[in-house]
Amino acid sequence: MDRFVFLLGTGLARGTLFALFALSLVLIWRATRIVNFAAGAMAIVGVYVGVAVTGVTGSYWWGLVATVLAGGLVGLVVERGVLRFASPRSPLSGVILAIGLVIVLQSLLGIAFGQQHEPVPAPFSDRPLRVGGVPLLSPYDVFVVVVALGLMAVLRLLFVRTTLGLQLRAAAFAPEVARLLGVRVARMRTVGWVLAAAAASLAALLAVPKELGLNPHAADMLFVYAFTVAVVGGLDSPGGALLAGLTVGVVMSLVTGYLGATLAPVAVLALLVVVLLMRPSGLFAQAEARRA
Amino acid sequence: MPPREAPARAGAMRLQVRGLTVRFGGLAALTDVDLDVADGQVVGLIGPNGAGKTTVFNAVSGLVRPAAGAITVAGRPAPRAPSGLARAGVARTLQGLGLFPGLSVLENVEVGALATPDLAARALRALDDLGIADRAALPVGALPYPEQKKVALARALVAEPRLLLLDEPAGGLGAADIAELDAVVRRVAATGCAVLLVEHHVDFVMGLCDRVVVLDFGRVIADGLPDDVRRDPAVTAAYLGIEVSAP
Repeated sequence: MDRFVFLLGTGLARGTLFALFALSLVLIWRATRIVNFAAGAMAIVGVYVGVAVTGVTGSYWWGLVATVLAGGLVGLVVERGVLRFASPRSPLSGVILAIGLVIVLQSLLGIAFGQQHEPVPAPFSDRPLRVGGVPLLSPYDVFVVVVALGLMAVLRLLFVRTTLGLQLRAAAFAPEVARLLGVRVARMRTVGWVLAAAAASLAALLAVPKELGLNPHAADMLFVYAFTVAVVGGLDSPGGALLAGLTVGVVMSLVTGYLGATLAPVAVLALLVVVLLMRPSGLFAQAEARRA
Repeated sequence: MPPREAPARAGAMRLQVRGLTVRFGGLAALTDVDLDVADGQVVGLIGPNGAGKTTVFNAVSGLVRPAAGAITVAGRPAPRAPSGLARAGVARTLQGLGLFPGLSVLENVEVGALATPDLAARALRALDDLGIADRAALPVGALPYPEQKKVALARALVAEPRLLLLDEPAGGLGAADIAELDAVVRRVAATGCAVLLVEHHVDFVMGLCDRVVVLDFGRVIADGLPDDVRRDPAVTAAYLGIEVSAP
């Protein structure tokens, strides 16, 4: 039972990261109908900047701020410079541009920083706290959950409570109509990419200390899991990303704990297959949004 | 339905279209179209399918670039891009609904008046004017079709436009809803707003409009008072098979 509680806790912590990264994919999908296959590589650029800033200033927090800003900037440059030119008529065009971007970004990072794994220390202890003798979450896990959920809450407020958020949603649901009503649809697209890329960079920064370390491919698996999460949740649904993220995190954690780490990716992909067979549009997809 | 009084106090010219020609490839969608709508006036644009009615709207909205001709709104050149419409005091509804499926009723209307303060209160008032304020929080897809039409209309009215373009406002509505729509348009025009509407429902157009312009194959074949247009043999010929009955 202790083991189960521990695995559940770490699974939920990990799941919030998947959810945050998946949310980034959902935001871009909703705004542009592109699955951003470059999300992992873009996010890692932000993390490299953040780690460099931490190295110079000695402060993890400046590094975190720098990661978010750099991530957003990468989103801006990528949208304005590359993906804006994806043909709206062919969904493949955006995907191919994004995959090309992955190759370019990862090669450039490799040339600049090398392929070795650079350890990134966590700002808090990674040892689980014991509550009544039962090992639970580590302080770092708690930090991750608070930051990830906090950012998701802020994004939700932005989208639901502000005029900017209303325009972002209107532009995503029906761009032609939104344009007629005076919404600057192209600008909203850019804003969506900036927000999404910043969120993904933060998720990658939080994830790196739990992995082997920082290298140009450090977010590849995070992207694969987040993509699974986004599809399982329904690509249109931010709430679905959260719930599916937590589900995938817990599934991975339980499978790792009871059956072995090698089976965890298989379990996640099996979950994806089952969901796609039963509800091809995802568990939480809004039927309405899909028709948009 | 009493006939609308001729606009005794017909205001300044709000929309002026001169020599409008639009081509799609080699096809002339509109040829040399002239059209005027004054403040407070309701003008109906009718014609058989494919006559170019919606293309007129699209040209005025900046969605299609004319090959020739001039369009002015209140004496100034019409916005060349749709994003400038709201600032020029122009609002339009779309054929079908053109609502935002993922947004609530209130949010749908709010998008119509983004630049104004007190957005929510204003949107709620626009819904209230059409008698559907109690639907504000619902997802727009949950409403029956006639109420969705009202949401689209509220979204056009919320910015208090000076020129309102209605694309088939009566489409898909029953008699009671059409009567209600008729009253709303009269009320809006009474505030001085210029209204141009494209409509297939001929009785509705003839009963409501101060002037009727008939398009056929992209050309204006008649322009005048509803009764005159109704008796015009060219119009009857264009509408062969469609009975133009008395209201």
